[in-house]
This record gives sequence, structure tokens and C-alpha cells, in this order.
Amino acid sequence: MTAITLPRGLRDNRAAWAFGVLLVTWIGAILFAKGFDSVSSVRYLVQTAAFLGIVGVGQTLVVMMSGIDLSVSGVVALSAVVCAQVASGSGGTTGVVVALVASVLVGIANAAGVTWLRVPPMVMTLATGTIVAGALLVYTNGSPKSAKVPLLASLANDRVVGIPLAFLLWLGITAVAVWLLHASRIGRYVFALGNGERASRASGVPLARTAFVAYGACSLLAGVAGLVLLGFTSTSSLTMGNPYQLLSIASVVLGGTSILGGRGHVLGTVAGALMLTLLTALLASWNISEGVRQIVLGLLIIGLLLAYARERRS
Amino acid sequence: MTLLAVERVSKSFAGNRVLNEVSFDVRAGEVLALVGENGAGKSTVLGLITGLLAPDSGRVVYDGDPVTSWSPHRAREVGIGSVHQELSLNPHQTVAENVFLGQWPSRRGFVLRRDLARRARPLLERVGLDVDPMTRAGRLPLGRQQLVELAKALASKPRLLILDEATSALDDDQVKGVFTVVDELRAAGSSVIIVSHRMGELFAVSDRLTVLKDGEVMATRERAETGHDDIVHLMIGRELSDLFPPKAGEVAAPVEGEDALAIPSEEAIASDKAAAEETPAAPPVPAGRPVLSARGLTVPGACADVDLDLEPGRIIGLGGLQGQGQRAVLRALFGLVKHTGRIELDGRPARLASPREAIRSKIAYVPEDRKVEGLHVAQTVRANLSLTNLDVVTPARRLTTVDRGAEARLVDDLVERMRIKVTGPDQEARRLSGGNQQKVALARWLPSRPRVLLLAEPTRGIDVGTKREIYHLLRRLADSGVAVLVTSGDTMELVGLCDEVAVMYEGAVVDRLAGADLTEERLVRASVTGTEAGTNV
Repeated sequence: MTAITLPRGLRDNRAAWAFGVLLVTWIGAILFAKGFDSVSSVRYLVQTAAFLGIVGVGQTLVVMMSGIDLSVSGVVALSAVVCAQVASGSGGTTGVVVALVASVLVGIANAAGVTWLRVPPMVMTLATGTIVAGALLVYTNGSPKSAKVPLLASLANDRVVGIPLAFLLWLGITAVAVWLLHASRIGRYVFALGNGERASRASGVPLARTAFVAYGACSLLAGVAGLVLLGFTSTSSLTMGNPYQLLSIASVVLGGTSILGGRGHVLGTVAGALMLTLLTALLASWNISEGVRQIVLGLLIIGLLLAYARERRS
Repeated sequence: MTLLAVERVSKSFAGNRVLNEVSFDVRAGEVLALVGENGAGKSTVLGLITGLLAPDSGRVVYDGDPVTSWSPHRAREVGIGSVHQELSLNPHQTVAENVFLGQWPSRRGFVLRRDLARRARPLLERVGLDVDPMTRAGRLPLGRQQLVELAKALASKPRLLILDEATSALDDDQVKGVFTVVDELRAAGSSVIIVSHRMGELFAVSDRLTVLKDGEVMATRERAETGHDDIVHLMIGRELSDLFPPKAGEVAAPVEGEDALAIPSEEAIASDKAAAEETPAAPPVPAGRPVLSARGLTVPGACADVDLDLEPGRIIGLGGLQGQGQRAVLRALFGLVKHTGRIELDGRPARLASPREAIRSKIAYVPEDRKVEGLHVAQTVRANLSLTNLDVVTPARRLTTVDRGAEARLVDDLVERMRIKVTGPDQEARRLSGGNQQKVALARWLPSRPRVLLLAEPTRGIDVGTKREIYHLLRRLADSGVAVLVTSGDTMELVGLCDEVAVMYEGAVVDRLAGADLTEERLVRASVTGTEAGTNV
């Protein structure tokens, strides 16, 4: 019997796998690379992983219902740029509110396109992301502002008993997402949708409501990440969201969530985001060119996927 | 001459013995029926014959050579063709492309599409399929797709054809067409192994019947020397005269309350039967006030002007040949397809524009395609059973947080009451047998106490023991005040189970049969002719 139950238990807990691989990689980094053995390096790592991690949590919600959100890069930039722009005129708090509202509107547009116009999620979100990027260019005349918003700066840089606030924010968001996805009614709907739309419809799952919650939350979190990023760098740019588009999806998948939806755990995405940030830092610590670095990162993502997060054949 | 010999084959999965010293043979030019309940080991035997599985001990000899590991491709090369209940057609390709899948005629790397169609036509005619070979396979109704599968199997000129529940989606006419093909093959010296839950079909076409029970061969009988009762007895070890429950009004005291929502015990079935025999000439129940009534129900392209009254306590059947609009009626009443016409619930006009609205009106639907629509097969039994009961499992007073205790109670209770065979609530639905999947698909609606229950092909591909359980459950539900509407391609089922059958033909109801008029003969006649044949014969 153990021969049957053991691989099944492992396979079904790919999120645990993600943490295991992360731990091994981290120990390897401490042993074989320079500069990974100090408390400050850990602190820096979890702080920078928070930006990707917050986007990744939102992406998990969408991927779990068989969707995908390629507009997150646009929304990260949207939120930072709009906040910087508004804050310079009407103050930080207004800037934050306007930025988050704008972000959620993108999510609502995504959900509307996917559920009512039946545009495939990949096309719909890529299109809204492109529209957002274009709109920002028009809005800023190509030169987005810098802004020091004290609230955001302290959120991104301060620490509570030595722990970066950004990391705590990420953990808090994750905790809410764990409840939403794994312990609430909407979570049941998301998993059902991820496992088959026709069966979900015939079971009375509210397709539209679920999509609006998932895409809305995803955009909101991308907006939050944009704000923290703005606080971290004090400047906004039109391309500041670009890395998060594919890396957020990679962190979801490396965290053991099926890219086809319907199986996985939000906590896995935390491991995924930490792993990607760790790998990036590790590659940066070796003196190799940017191009080679990207090649190696890409190969590592494929390798890790093959190691534990491969899709089953139906 | 023996074409295939299965010699003392045993097979275990994870320490679970599925086959125990199974032996039988198939002669050239013979049709052998393989009979048994779900889980008797039929699929495993077929897997061994086609080389998809290897036996633990014993061997399978085909055409003089022991079968070692074969692939579906190799099996086809040596002349083994198979048609399964599960369709393997590519829905986006044409019928012709599907028929010759993997062996398209080509010249210099280009597929000769017209040649393909020309060569497909005689094969399609042979299986009695009148469709344009250039139609996309996915556009055909289920039954016709299954015939395309048969044409596909014939394309490689099999010496051994395996029909594994290959008639499950076919109507009686189509089944006859399949049997003609089987007869032709036999006459040409080829052999056929047929697996079906429909006893009548097996007797109509086979030369010998081999009965499997719990992984062992109970007996192999010549068809001429056996009968239904004998075979059923060998299959399940008891008589089946009580396959169907008594009809409405034949039982003295209908069951009330919670007990109505469970598969009745053997004692309860026996007492129902006794009660029915004491009141043999009970008149049909007087029509009560319908819960749901439809007037002029029309789904463009599928059904037109259908009038139906669903009354508490009655099981209404929708009969007719395959694909005459029965499915559309059910889907319209569940809000799954756009429709016109007047629908009233308790006498008040109602709009059923989505399944959610239907569910809110206490209508439940168990679809024919349980793997795609009826269940989330990749999810656990627990997730499937609680999805339709989230009001209980994730109560609003807990801010919709899942109440694991309530969920466990709900699931355990349903598994027990419906006698669903699972290893545990964590088992994935796709690992259950067809009968148990169907029980889950039905059970998930029970806690919400539906007032109208719609079922499409409720026992397709299900073993006879589970069929019986489902029939008795449906009657219990009806007795407790549920209005039941069933579609079925199995005339025996409609006659045995329903209080009234509306016969559909080309999207319209052409006849209604009830009481003494409800016989298999009249039902078939009305189905085939599309006219009112029930009352004046």
C-alpha cells in the first residue's frame, strides 16, 4: 500500500515540495556562494521577494480558476505612476486611493471581458495590459514623476523588530488569500471552476461573481505591489512592472499550482517567489553578464518545473 | 480454430486481486459475450487482451503467439480493433479524418482529403451512419460519434473486434445496425468480443457467454442453452425480478422524511414489493397539481412546442430514438440553454435563465455526461458532494468560512445513505466506478431537497445492481413528493420505472403512454414511427 500512497501524498503536496527545494537551494547558497550567510542578506531577500510575492498571490487566485493575468505588469506600473502623479498634486493618501481604485478597475475590465464577452483570459489580459501601458504613456507624456510618499516609503523600508514591513504586509496578504482560497465559499467556487467550467455551471457556481473576485483581487494586489515598489525606489517608471508579468506566473507554477488551474496552494507561491528572488540574487552574486544570467534563470525554471511541478498526463 | 485463448490469468493491483485464474477462449468466426457487474474484471481482461496490461501469472495467446506488451498501434497491426464506451474521437477533425486516424492516405506528404472522404463513405454506410464524411466529429450527437468509432475500428479490417459498452449511447435502430456489422464479421470468419450491460443485446448477437464475477469465471454457456435469468443469477447470485420498484400508488404507505433520501435496504425493497402485490390493480394516481409545467417549450434546432406537467410523486419519462430533443428539454428546464415558451412553478410564471435560478427554484439536474458536466472528476468525492451544498458547508453566519465538521458529516452521511463505495472522502471522483460516480452525481443534490429532479440517462454504463438501487431511490424520492423527469434510450428502463412516458420525435412530443398502454412494444412503435401508436393498436 505504501508504494501507492507515498507518491500520491508527495504529488498532491507540491507546495511542500516547493518549500523543500527552496530550503535546499538556500542552504546551498549559504555554503557555496558569498554573502548569503548574514541576517541582513536574509532580510534583504525577503524584502525584495515581497514585491513579486504580492503580485504572485493575486496571480494564484486567477490561475487557480483556470485563468491567467498578463496585465499585472501594466497594473504595477499604473499604480506607481498614478500615485506619484496624484501625490505630487493632492497628497499621498489621495494618491494611494486613486492608484488602488484604478488598479481594481483594470481587474473588473478583465473579468468582464472574460466572462461576458468570452474573450480568452490570455488575450483579454494581454490587451488590457497593453492599453494600460499606452494610457500611461499618454497620461505622463513619457516622463513619469518621482514622488516621496512617506507612508509608502516607511511601508517599503521600515522594520518591526528587525522584520521588514513589506515582508509582513506580504504575509498578511497571504493569510487573507489562504482563507479566501482554501477556507471560504468563493475558494470552493474557484477550485471548481479550475477543474471544469461546464460542471461548475451545472452545479450552480456563480461564474461571473467568482471571476470578478479573482481578477479584481489580482489587480488590487498588483496595485499594492506597485505602491510598495514606489515607496522602495521613490521613483516611478513606465516599465517598472515588466519583470512581474512572467515572474509572477513562474512563482505560481514553481509553487506547485497547476497552470491549468484547480490544484495547488497559495503558500506554494510564497516559496515560488522566494525561490525566484533567491535564484536571481544568486546569479547576480556571480560575475556573469546579464544575458547569460537570463539564460541560466530560464533553464533553472524549466529544470525546477520538471523536478516537481510537471503537469500530469490526463 | 481458436483465435484467442486466455489461460489461467491472474492480475492484482496494489495487492488487490482483480482477476483470479481466468480462462476462456474465442474461436474464429465466433461472437463471445463477456458478462459481469461493474468491477467484475471485464475491463482488466480486455486490457490484457490488447496488451495494455501484463498478467501476473498465466498468459494470453492470440493467433498462436503469446501476447506480450503491445501498444494500441501494435494491436491494430495484428488485427485487433476496439470500440469503447469512452469516445476517443478528435472532435475538431472531420468524420473521415477520424475514421482513418493515424493512417491517412497521402501523396508526397500531403493528405488527400477527398480520397479520405471517398474511402470513409462505404465504412460509414456499413455501420448505418448517414453523415457527410467532412462533418466535424464533435458536431455529431453522442450515439453517432460512437458509430464513427466503430467505422474507425473497421477501417483496419480487424480479425478480432472488441465492443466494450460500444452500444451504450445508441438507440435501438443504431444497435441493430451494429449487430448487422457483427454478423457480417462473423460470416467472414472474424471474431467479436462484446461487453454490454444490456442483456437483450447480448442474447441477440452472441454465440457464447462467459460470466465473470469478482474476478473469476463463473461459467461459459452456449447461448442456446441458457437464458436471462440463468446469466443474471450467475452474475449477481440472486434473481432480479425486483429490478424495478412498484409504481406510484402501488405501495400502501410512502416513506416520509429522511428515509426517503436514501437507497432503501433489502428489507424495505421486499416489503414494498409485498405491498405492491397485495394491491395489484391499483389505479394510476390522480394527477395532482404540477410543481413545474411547461407550455410550448422550444429550443431552436432541438425541440419545439413541448408541453409537460411534472407532478409530485410521479416519474415521467422522455422516450424516443436517440437525439430527438429529449436532452434539450431537460437542459432548458435547468436553465442551461436558451429557450422560449411558458414555464410555471407552482402555477406562477417562472424564468429559468441559468442553472443558478433553476437550483434556487429547487430543480436538480443529473446530466448524461457525468464526467464533464455531472461531476468534477479531478476533485475529491468530498469537494463534489459539498459544492452543491455550500449553504450548509460554508454558512453565512461564519462569513462563508468552511465548516469542516459540517462538511465531514454531510459527506459521510451521503456516502452511507447512497452506499457509495469509496476508499474515503478524499478519493478523486474519477477513480470511482461508473455506478458510484453516478451515485455521487445524484447524492450531491439530495441535501437541498429538490422538488423537481431531472435525470438524463441515469443508468447508462452502470452495472445491474447499481441500476436497481437507483431505480428504487428514484421511486422513494417520488413517493416523498419529488417530481421526477427521466430521459433514457433504454426502453425497458422507461417502461419499468416511469408512471408516464412522453415519446419525442424530431423535437416534438408525439405520444404519451401511461398505465396499461405503457409497454415496450408501444413505446418502440411510437418512437420509430413518430406517430401516436400507443392507444389505438
